[in-house]
Amino acid sequence: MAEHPNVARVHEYLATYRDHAPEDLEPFFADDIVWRVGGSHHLSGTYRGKDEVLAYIARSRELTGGTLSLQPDSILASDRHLAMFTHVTGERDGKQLDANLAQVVVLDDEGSWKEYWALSDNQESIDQFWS
Amino acid sequence: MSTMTREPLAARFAEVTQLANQGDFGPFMTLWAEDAVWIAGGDNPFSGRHRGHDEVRRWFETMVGLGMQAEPLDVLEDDGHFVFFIRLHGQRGDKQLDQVHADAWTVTDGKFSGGFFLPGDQAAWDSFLRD
Repeated sequence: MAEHPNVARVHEYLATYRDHAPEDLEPFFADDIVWRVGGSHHLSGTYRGKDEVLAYIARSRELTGGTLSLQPDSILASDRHLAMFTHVTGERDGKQLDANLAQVVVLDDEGSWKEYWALSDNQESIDQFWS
Repeated sequence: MSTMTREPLAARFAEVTQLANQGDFGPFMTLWAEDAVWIAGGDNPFSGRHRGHDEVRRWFETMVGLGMQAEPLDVLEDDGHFVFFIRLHGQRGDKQLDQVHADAWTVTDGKFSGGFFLPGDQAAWDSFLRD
């Protein structure tokens, strides 16, 4: 079974996330992207538009001194949706983040990310990490 | 990593969820490992971890009992994961729900061993479910 082209696109996204500045992620996002961060910490909420999303990513990177890392376990894709099962780690003020995430994305007609949301298998640890 | 649609698990899933929506949850539960863990996102009476057949079944029976209409959107599948995108419509009193959700499972030995219920808009979902 051939891999959907959008799987490769997600790998490009993750490599850009890992190796480049947050603003370099801009081409992946639709202008009107809605990015929802669950939980109950001070980064939780809804980020609307590229500027807010890129600022959120930059802030999360800044708060972790660049240690935030996403390791994909599996990436699934169609023309309209993405799903990523990832292992996220990071350090912040002596606190360690180590959790599994299910992340999903709705794509627009051009294949850009239009909606993003996620859920962790250990939301309490994520809330404590960011709080 | 790859994407497949309407492979055996997807076909079985479509069949048993149709029965579950009619109140017959037996076939649906055959998809689940005995010790499966289902994590429902949000901050409402039904969010959190649900362990084992009894708790998982109770969660889905409750959701079906709310009378929401489900519109399947997309299925993504690989050897170890299964993701179902769905639009849920519902009404509780004067509250209305219309949003995209994702169910994301880890598959072990052909059974759901763990899964996430990802409401597309956690705040709206919580509001809809709270009395």
